Amino acid sequence: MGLYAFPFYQYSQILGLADRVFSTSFFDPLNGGSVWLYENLFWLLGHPEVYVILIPSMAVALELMPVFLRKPLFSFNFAVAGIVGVVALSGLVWAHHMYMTGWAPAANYPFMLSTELISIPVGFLVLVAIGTFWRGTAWTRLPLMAVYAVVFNKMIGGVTGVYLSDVPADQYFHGSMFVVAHFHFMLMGAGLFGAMAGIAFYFPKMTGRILDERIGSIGLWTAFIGFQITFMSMFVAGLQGQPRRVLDFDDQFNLSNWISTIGAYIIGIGMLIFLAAIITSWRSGVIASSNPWGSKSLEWQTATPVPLENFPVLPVVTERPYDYGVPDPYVAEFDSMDEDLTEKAGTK
Amino acid sequence: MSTSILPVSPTTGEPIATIARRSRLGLWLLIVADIAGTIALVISYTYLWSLNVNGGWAPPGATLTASQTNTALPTTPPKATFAAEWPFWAIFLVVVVAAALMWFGYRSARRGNHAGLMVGAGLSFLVTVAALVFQWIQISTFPFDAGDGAYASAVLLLCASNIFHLLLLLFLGMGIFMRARKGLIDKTNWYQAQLTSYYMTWVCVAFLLGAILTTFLVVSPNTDPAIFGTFKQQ
Repeated sequence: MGLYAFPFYQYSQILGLADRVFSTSFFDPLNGGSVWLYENLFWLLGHPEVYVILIPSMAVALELMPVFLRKPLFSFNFAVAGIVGVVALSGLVWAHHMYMTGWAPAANYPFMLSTELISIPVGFLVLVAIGTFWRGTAWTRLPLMAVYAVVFNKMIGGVTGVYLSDVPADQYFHGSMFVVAHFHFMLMGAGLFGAMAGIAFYFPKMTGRILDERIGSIGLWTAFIGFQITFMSMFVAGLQGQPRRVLDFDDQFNLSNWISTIGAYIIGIGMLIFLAAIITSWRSGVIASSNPWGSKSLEWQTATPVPLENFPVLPVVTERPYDYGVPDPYVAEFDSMDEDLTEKAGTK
Repeated sequence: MSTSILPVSPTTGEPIATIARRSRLGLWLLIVADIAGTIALVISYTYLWSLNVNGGWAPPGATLTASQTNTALPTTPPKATFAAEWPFWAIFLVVVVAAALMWFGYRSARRGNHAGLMVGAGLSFLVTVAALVFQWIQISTFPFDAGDGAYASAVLLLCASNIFHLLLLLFLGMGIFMRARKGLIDKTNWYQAQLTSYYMTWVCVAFLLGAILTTFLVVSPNTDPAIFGTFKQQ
């Protein structure tokens, strides 16, 4: 996605540079330029870039869930289809950021359709996560706690995104604090907590020590609570009509902004606590075994610290990495034979 | 019973097929990024052409179509007019020849014809140098400056992109020629010549797009353009 999205932004900057240095007319209307051209090029990067941040976080979450729920991913193929669908559609939704600019009113509804369509592959990813939770045997360690936070935040961000994709609703919400709250739930809510999940999970492999669960979870949940206070309050401010990017806002928005400010400090405190957990654990944490989570994936099968070239000899893969709890076919066959024998014995 | 030995790279010792597969993926990713950048240029050109904001698309002296400008426009100022179309096509054809020669060299390498590879890669490099010279001459003789409207800006940017592509081709062509001279490209190890041929083919497409734009999308169809203000200080 980055490969096809970032060149648009790079060219927007090259054109801007040419306008300033060589007096060309790409964005200056005086000689035929257009600022809408800049907006189009910018958002051709801008929206795919949202998924550049989001998808790794969801990938981390889906990687951890089978380990800590001790069951296979609900549907690996659906997860892959979700990611592929997001990648394919992400280049066709940029103009929903420009509904209100007036650049091409006739294009609003096709872009509304494409934006709503992208909620389907994103929904795949959330459904795979929820399906994996279903009847899983949750081993709630710090990484899984962060995954809970990712899924919760992503659902809030996803649902509010549907409102913003609708042209009629966006006419009210556009440029308001509602938008700010929405994209923070998507980017920070999924990205930040996904990063925390990944750090907690891979910390033993990276450092040879376990990340302190007690201090780490206090930091995680403090940041999570602060996050909800900050951005739920921004939703309220947006619904009340507060525009974004305004320094001196009306008095009626004071309360929600004060609450957001308090929440932001709580996030900061939570992050500092989590950072303290990282530093103290790295220096003097509990020594970790090579595979403390009992993970089946390949990176956990090698020693910690990881030797040069990863494995002394080429490992032989005998099963898939996410097949937790899938019964061995031969064992299952014997189990069913036992049940048959028991039933027959009971009938005699 | 016969045994087959996989050809390995003389530098890393890996099987050549493995390196080729990895490099091919890298090349396709590079082409994807390059296509996106070229699409950004095409969008910029066609967008400004279609909007004709403030009537500022055409250079100030060009009120006629491109095919008429050479004979009908006055020689006194305003000097700026549309660029002649044929140089875009001429440079495109030169680049096609360079790509064809590289393909010839690559095919020769696959057949084990080392002389053919040397001739193909060497001539491809020289023709690419010629294309770069022609491109530079074209830019330096345009009948407009960068500040002569959106058309001038868009055309100059297309040409700058062409120069960037040609410099890349020079680098790649020189690499293939030098490797061929050292015997590093042969009947069993030809993937670099193949990938360079693929990339040159894409560059031909990029040049073709530029030639099409500057030939068929010259005079803006918007005769009633929107009038906007300017960000410049009055």
